[in-house]
Amino acid sequence: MISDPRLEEVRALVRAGGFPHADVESGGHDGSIAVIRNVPATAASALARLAPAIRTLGFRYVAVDITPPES
Amino acid sequence: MASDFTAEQVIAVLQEGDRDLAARFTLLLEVLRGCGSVCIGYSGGVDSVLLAQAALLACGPGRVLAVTGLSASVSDAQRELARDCARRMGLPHLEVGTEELSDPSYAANPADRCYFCKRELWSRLAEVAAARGLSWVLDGSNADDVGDYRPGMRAAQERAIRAPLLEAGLTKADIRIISRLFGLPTWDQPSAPCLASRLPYGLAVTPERLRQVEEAESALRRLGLRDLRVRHHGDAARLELGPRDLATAGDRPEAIAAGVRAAGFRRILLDVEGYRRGALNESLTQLEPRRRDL
Repeated sequence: MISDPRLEEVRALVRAGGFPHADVESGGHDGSIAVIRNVPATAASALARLAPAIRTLGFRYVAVDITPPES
Repeated sequence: MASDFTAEQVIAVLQEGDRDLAARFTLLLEVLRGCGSVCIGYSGGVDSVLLAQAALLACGPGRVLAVTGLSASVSDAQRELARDCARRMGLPHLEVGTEELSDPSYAANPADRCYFCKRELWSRLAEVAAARGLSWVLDGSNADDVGDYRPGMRAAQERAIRAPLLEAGLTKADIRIISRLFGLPTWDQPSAPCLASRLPYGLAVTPERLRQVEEAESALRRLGLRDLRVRHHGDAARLELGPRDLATAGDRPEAIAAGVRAAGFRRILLDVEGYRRGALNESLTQLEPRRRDL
């Protein structure tokens, strides 16, 4: 797999923003979403203030992954 | 719910608070009277409901027909809302099937997708109007729509479809005020664009994808969420919630995710910025300086 250098930058931003355990991957059919994982859904509002900076890295949307584990 | 108020009563109330708005509404009635008989593109949304109410008053029920185009891009909830509102208003109402999904130009979901949809809709309504001897086909566009990116308006221009709300200079805010005075249930109804608006440009519009969006949004509404969009990104659903719902969604992510997953999405993503009109047009900013309402 080819790593996306943007993801490292987003991960650093999010972790510095108060979510030290967060991970990041690209999502959506075209990779336009910066998907933030390992944060609670309640973090969405707090992460909103980071969204403009994340978009400058080339993502169109920023979202928290709330997918439940496969049962 | 045939309105208890006459046009004159509403104008009198408006004149006490905003004479310019009263003048715009008066102009709307004059435009409609000048039309004689009308066939209205009627979705059951705030704009077309007020247009229909005004047409009933200006032209009389025998000279008004509201027509709703039905396809997989129209949700069952919206269809029921349109039917219910027409019934309560005493509005002559007809539903016609539209075939935009069979048009490859529409199904490919280009940035001007709405043009192909409206071209089909206005074509059907023009046929209905001609068959019934109605003078004009009317669109519910308003004065706020002029500066937005709305390729659908090009289709209306090609068919000489008139937009009396726009001609009278009425804005969306005006329309909500007047709707409230008439007691129309749509006065505070959120905008309800078609289901295809939930698919990013370039992602093909299919009946199955539209069904997924409709089912997921229905599931979220059953949870009490109101201002929302489920954006389709292939196997992922990106949820845009209004500020109030976004603030509380974190308290029950499992219920939210379960409802959306049942619609066939594998991944459920909660957009951190929430619902914002025209979000899928954010990719169009290099094409057009203004964003469109979606």
